[in-house]
Amino acid sequence: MASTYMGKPYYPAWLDNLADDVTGEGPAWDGAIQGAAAVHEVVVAAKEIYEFQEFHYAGPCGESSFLEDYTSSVRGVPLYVIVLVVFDAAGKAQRLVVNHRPRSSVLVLSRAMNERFAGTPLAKHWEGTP
Amino acid sequence: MTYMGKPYYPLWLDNLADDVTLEAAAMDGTARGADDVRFILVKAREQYEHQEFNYAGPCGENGFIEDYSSSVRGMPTYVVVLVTFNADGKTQHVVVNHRPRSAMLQFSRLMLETFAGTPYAKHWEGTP
Repeated sequence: MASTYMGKPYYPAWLDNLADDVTGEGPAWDGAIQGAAAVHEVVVAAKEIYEFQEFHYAGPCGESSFLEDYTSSVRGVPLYVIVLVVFDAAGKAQRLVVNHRPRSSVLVLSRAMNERFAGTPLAKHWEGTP
Repeated sequence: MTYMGKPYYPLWLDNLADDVTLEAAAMDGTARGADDVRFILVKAREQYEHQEFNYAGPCGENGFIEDYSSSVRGMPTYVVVLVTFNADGKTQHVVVNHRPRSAMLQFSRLMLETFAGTPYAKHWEGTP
């Protein structure tokens, strides 16, 4: 899966700098994903489901946050994403909010994640997706 | 509607570019134009039972972000709004993101009820 920003490969450095008690929330799931291992696993799984990521912005936001704005697709459906990462006082990623749109694409992704995590403790976040 | 204990009003809402666009996790498609975008956003704000802002301020070089907690029909609803300004400083692009999924879908159904029978309804039709 190609991930590019201004024509060059892009990797989210914050993903390797998660606080132990990081939380992950978003419109595509219910509840908050808790802890570095779970959040890392979910983000990596989502990146595997994305068919590409083309970043329009990745940089500072406010005093202690980082914003990513990118275009993607999932199962052939266009998906637009804004990620807000909030860092703690130690500079670690403390809170992650991943905002997908539009609604139809949110549900396509949610169903794909439900299939991906079926039978695991993380499945609860996507169960019940219509 | 409060931010750090004081009343808060989103000034960007009174500064929309003529060709502003609105997208959202709870919508399909894009709403275009100052009149339509303002009408939709004002109706959306009427659905909130409260808004408690955790952050409202600059983001990046020409953006503004709001991060707030709310409730809709008693359901906790969390929102991130990203506003992008054009070269004239007017609001060019608004992206509204509700979460979690159950709250996003409830909000979408509520907006469909609000706009049923109008040209705006297309953005929420088909909400499961």
